[in-house]
Amino acid sequence: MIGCSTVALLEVAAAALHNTAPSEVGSPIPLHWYLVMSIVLFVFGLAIVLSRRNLIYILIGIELILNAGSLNFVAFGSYRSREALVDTTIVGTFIIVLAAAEATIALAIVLNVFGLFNTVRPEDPNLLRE
Amino acid sequence: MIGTVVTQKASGPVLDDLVLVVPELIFVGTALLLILIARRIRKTPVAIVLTVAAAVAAALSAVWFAPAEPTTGFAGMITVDGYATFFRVLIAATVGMTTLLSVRSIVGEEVPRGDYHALLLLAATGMMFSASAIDLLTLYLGLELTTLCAIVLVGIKVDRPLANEAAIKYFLLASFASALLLYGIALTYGATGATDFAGIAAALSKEGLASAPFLLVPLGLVTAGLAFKIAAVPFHAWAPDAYQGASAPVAAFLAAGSKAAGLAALGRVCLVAFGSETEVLSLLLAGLAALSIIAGSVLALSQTDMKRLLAYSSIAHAGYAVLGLLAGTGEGVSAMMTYAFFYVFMTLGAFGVVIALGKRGEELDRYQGLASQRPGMAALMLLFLLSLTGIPPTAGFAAKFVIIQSAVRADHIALAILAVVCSVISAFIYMRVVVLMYMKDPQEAAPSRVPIAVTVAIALAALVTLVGGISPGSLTAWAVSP
Repeated sequence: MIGCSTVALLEVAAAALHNTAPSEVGSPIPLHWYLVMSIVLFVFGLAIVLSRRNLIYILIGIELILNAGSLNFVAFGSYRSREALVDTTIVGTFIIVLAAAEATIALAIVLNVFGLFNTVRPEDPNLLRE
Repeated sequence: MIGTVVTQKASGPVLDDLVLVVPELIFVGTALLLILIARRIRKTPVAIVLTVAAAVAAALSAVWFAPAEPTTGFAGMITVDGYATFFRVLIAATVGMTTLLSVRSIVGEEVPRGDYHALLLLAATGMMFSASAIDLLTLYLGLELTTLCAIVLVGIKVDRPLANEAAIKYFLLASFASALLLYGIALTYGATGATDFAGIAAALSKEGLASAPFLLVPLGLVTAGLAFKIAAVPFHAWAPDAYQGASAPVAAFLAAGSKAAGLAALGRVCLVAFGSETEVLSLLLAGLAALSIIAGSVLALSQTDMKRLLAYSSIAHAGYAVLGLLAGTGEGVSAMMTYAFFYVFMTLGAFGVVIALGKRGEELDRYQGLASQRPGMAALMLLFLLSLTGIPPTAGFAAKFVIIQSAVRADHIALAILAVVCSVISAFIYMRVVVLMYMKDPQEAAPSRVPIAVTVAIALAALVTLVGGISPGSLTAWAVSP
C-alpha cells in the first residue's frame, strides 16, 4: 500500500512540476527532492503511529506527518511564485503553532494518564469496554 | 487565500470583514472573559448565565447580521451565506443547550469554574468557522480548534481514570486524522495550485480525474479526514470510547455539535471544491454511508452502556446524513442540512434524559420501571427514541424521509433500501429501552429531582422534535445549500 501511494505521490510531483514553469524564485534544489523528503517523513510517521506501542513515540509520529504536510506546502509554494512562497510560509508557521498546541494538550494528558495508570502504552488503560 | 488575486473593497475593509464574524467574536470574547475572571467566579451560575447569553446573542446576531447576498470576507477565507447562517444558528443552539444540560455535572463534580464554559465556546467558534470556511486552510484551523477543545473537554475531570483514557484515545485518533487531512490539503494545493474552494474547483474542472488519476490521493485523504470528524465508519473508533469516558453533557456536545460542524464542512467541500468529481466522490461517500449505517445499527444492539449505545446510534446517523451528499446537488445538500438539524435536537434530547437521570441514566438496565416512577421523563425519552428510529409524527421521520428521497433521486436505490432496513434494525435498539421503561417493575428508588435548567433544555429539544415532525417545512425552510 505504501509503495502504491509513493508512486502516486511521485506522479503528483511530476504533474506539479509540469504545470508550473520553474520560476527564478525557486531554490536550486529540485522540487522532487523536497517531495521525496516529505514522502519519507510521511511514511516514517505513518509507520511509527501504526507500529510503536508508546504514547510518546506515537506523538512523534504524528508530528512527522504534520511536518511532511508543512514541507509539501512550502516546497510547492516556492516553485509557484514569490507571492505563493510568502503565503505558504505563513501556512507553515500556522502549522507549527498548531502542532505546538497539539503537543501541549497531548503531553498534559499523557502525564495525567501516567499518574493514574502508571503506563505510557496506549492499550494499557482499558476501562472502556463494550 | 493562496493562488487568488485579492481585491479589497475601498471603504473600511476591516470593519466590513468583522461584521461577518460577529457571532464568532461574541463567542471568543465571552470565552476570554471567562478565562480572565475564572478565579473570581464564586458561583458557577455566573459562568452558566454568561455562556447561555453568549449563545443566544450569537444565534440572534448570526441571523441579524446575515447579509442578503452571500458575502466573502478576510481575503476570501470565509463566506457568510444561508448555509453558514443555518449552521451557525444550529451550533449556537447546541452550545446553549449543552450549557443548560451540564448544570449538574459542573456543580456536582469539581470542574474548574469558567474553564469548562470557555472551552465549550471556543470549540463552538471553531465549528462556526468550519461551517463558513471557503478555503481548506480556514476549514482546517476551524476543525482543529474544535478538536483540541473537545479533547480537553473529554478529559476535563482530571482525576477520573475513565475520562483520561477516553481523552488519550480520542487524541491519538483525532490528531492522526487531522495530520492526514493536512497532508491531503498540501497535496491538493500541489496539484491544483489553490486552497480556496473556487480555485480548486476551477483547476479540477480543467484537468479532472480522468486526465490526472493521482488526484485521488488528496481527494481520499481530505474525505477521510472529514469522515473522521463526523465519526463515519471506518473512522469511527474514537466515538464510543470518547462518549463513554466523557461526562454525559460533553458527550452530547460531541454527538450534536461536532457532527453538525463536520457535516457542514464535508457538505461544502463535496459540493463546491470537489463538485466536478461527483462520480468518484459519491462512490467514496456511498461506501462511508453504507458502512456507517450497517455498523452503527448492528454494533448498537449489544451495548449496555447508554452513552455507548447513543455513540453507535450517532455513527449510524452520520451515515444517513451522508446519503444527502451522494447526488452532489443542492437539493441533496439541503436534505443533509435538514437531517443534521433534526438529528442535533433529538440527540441532545436523548442525552438530556440520560443526564437528568444522573448515574442511573448511564446504564441500560437501570431504566427498568422508569415509566411508573417518572412518567413525564419516560414519555420524553420515548419521544426521542421514536424520533431516532424515524417513526412519524416525529422529526426523525421527516429527516429520514427527505434523506432517503434524495438517495433515491441520486439513483442509489440499493443504499436507500439498506437505509430503510437498518432503520428497522435500529428500532430493536431503541425499543429495548422503551420495553425496560414501560414493561418492567422498578428495581430502585425514583431518581432525584431534576434541575430546572436541564428540564428547560429537554423541553426545547422535545418541542423541536414534535414541531419538526408535524410541519417539517416550517423549520427547514432555511436549509439552503451553498
